[in-house]
Amino acid sequence: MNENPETASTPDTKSNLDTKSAPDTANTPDTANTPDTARTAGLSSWQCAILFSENERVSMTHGGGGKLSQRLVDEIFFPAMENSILHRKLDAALLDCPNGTIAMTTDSYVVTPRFFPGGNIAKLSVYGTINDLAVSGATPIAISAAWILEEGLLLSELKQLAEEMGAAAREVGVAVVTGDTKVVDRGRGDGCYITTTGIGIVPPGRNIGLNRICAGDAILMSGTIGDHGMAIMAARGGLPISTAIVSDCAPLHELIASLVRAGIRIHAMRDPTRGGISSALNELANAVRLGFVIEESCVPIAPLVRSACEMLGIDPWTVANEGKFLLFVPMAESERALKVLQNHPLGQSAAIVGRVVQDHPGIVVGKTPYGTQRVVVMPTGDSLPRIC
Amino acid sequence: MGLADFGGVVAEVCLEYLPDIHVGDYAIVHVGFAISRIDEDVALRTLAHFRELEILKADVAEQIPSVDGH
Amino acid sequence: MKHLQEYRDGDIADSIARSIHESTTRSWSIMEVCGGQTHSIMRYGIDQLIPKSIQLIHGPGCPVCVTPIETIDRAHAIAQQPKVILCTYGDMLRVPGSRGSLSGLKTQGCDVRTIYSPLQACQIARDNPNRSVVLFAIGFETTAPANAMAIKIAKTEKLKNFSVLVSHVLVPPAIEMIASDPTCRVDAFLAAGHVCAVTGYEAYHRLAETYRIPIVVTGFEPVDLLEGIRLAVLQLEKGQAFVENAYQRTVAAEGNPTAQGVLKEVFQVTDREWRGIGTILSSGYTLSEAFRDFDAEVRFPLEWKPVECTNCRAGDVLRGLLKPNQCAEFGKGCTPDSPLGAPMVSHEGACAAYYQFSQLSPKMNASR
Repeated sequence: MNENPETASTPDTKSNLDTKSAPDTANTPDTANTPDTARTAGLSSWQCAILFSENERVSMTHGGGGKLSQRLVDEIFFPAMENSILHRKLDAALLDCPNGTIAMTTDSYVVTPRFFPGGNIAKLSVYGTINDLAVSGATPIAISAAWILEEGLLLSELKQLAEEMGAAAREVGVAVVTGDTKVVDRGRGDGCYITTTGIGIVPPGRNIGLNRICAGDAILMSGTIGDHGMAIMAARGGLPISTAIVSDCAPLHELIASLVRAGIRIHAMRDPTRGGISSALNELANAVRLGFVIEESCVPIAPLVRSACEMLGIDPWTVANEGKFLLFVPMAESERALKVLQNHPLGQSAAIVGRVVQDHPGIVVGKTPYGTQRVVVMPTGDSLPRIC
Repeated sequence: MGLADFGGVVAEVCLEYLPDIHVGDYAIVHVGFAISRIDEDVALRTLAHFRELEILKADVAEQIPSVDGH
Repeated sequence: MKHLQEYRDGDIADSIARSIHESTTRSWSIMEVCGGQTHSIMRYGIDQLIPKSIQLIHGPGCPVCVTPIETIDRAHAIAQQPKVILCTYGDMLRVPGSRGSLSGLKTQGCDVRTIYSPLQACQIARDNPNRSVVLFAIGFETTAPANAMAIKIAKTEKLKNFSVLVSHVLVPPAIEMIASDPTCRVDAFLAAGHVCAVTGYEAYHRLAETYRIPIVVTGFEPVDLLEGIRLAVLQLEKGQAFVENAYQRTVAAEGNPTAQGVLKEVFQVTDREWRGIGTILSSGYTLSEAFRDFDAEVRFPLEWKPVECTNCRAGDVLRGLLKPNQCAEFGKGCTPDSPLGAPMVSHEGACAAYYQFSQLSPKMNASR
């Protein structure tokens, strides 16, 4: 996942679109027949075309650019993500853009297990990219999807994932307009990796960015922390625990749009994915050379997540989120922003968690419920169970 | 082996070292092993003792009048 | 969670802290022995709640910190043997040996796995009959019963592909080593509650009497730590020195006899080297005769010469003789990103804790 502050760049519109490529499979000479067949069968058949057998698996040939590659596209990806632009099957998706700045982001998803409580890798790959656009102030317009499949993956699972991706894209109102598929030898992948690239438009006049964070800003968290990471850790097995923790995997563009509609002067936003809020806050504080002070007791944590972290000796502040964001607004707007967040289903547990200060530039300080303070450090890597 | 509930998170825990433990007891668990049963009576007494400290503090701070009206 | 949240209560913590302030008339140095307690102190800022005249010294109770470099190198060498799966606890992964850390080995293709419980190592051995599974058994008396049980299970099930690299250390001999040092700056000890849950605290009476030093068995939550400090201060102010239990809900005087029985069966006491401190007599466990077959040191007789960084003064820090920021390498040659010694590795290591604080306020740190 990309945690670089410059995730959303604003490249020259034309060249951006020019460099987009369609799936390799679209260029193969013998593709002509299959799509025709599909077309004669009528569009409606795309919704329920199970032309492969129940136990058929991804083979190296599926990535070879031949007939099987085409079948993958026609029988699995196209029906799942059907839209007019994809249907054109061009090498690059040509998009009409209204005036404004194009935002573009890309992210790879390698989560294990592929299905987890609250989501799956395909859904995550859509939401994650949408969120990167949304927290950059952009309205998402389209995404691409590149799939790396491991030889042996069940096609039925692939179909399910493709459908999840299509459903997620439709839910957020963006189209998956181009894609690619590669197959790697068995043992060289983890079943399935997905890379999504998203573009969005930043409307003229919208000014959101790290450079706007200033001393006196309030820091808000849009909801509970650590849900995604702990759900994955519990679902991954290896740990002898079972819990009802569900990933918070969700698209944030609507929630963010509601802030914009309410006229909140948003200074900056960040979705604290891998590394949790400890990592995101440290990155931001360091980038803007200001200090952050966080009231620890204000940071929302679901009781189950707290228990699981407690039990495993893991700091919930370092655990990944996939449907939350940190929001920086002028202090005077913080209460109003909080109300807007809390009025949306995805922001119900939102809270004002801290403020930006001139002191200790680059350092995040946690205020404990005891009135003491500690330095919130950048997590070193994977959250690991400890013994002492 | 037994199941331990950590505030809603259920984990398989080795109970070999607490032969007298019963369902409903609280225990300290370390690397998957229950090593000590928490004595609830003592826990309650300790907390009551702490609350006394708190009341003492409040007494000093607020000069609460005694109950019998003196 | 019940029996946890109550001991994080801000009002109770506040009243105990106030009571400590009222009782303290002079300066005292109190050592918390256990790394878990150090972690809580840093995490909740307990040191900021107590009078400035009370100094908390972070003791040698972080098991990964005191694991000798020779043992880490041995684990390193074993993990590089063909077909080996090395199982270790998460905290050990990043600790530097003389040839790098175990997490570094992982990237070179060695099979190093992080476990939550030693029983997982048994399961890995069952699942991989053609591989050799080595459990890196570190920790104090708290972790030793769990590792002992894994070894017993391996013997019962005749898991021939299972062995252990034992580097267990014992707390009372370390306390005695520190207390008996003529330059000792420690006025009182907070004994580690969960160690005592296993061992009991009978062994501490002699130490308290011999060295005229209060020893308070203490838990890990803010309220527990403050209560431990309060009882230690009360003893010090009255000129008393005895063993007191501030963690009665968990620790019984006799400890856990069942666990002690298994420890006695599986292990025998041996002299043990503590990283940066040196050898302490009768301060560790090795496998007893009956379980010698499972000793990874016997199964993998490897030879090499470890090189410890000579500039690292972790030993003096862990004995309370030197403040981390008084070390010449502190913040220069040695930082959390590239640590020279183990106390700079984990966040609650004494050096790493000081390093974080020095970032926040260099002036404040210098005056501490």
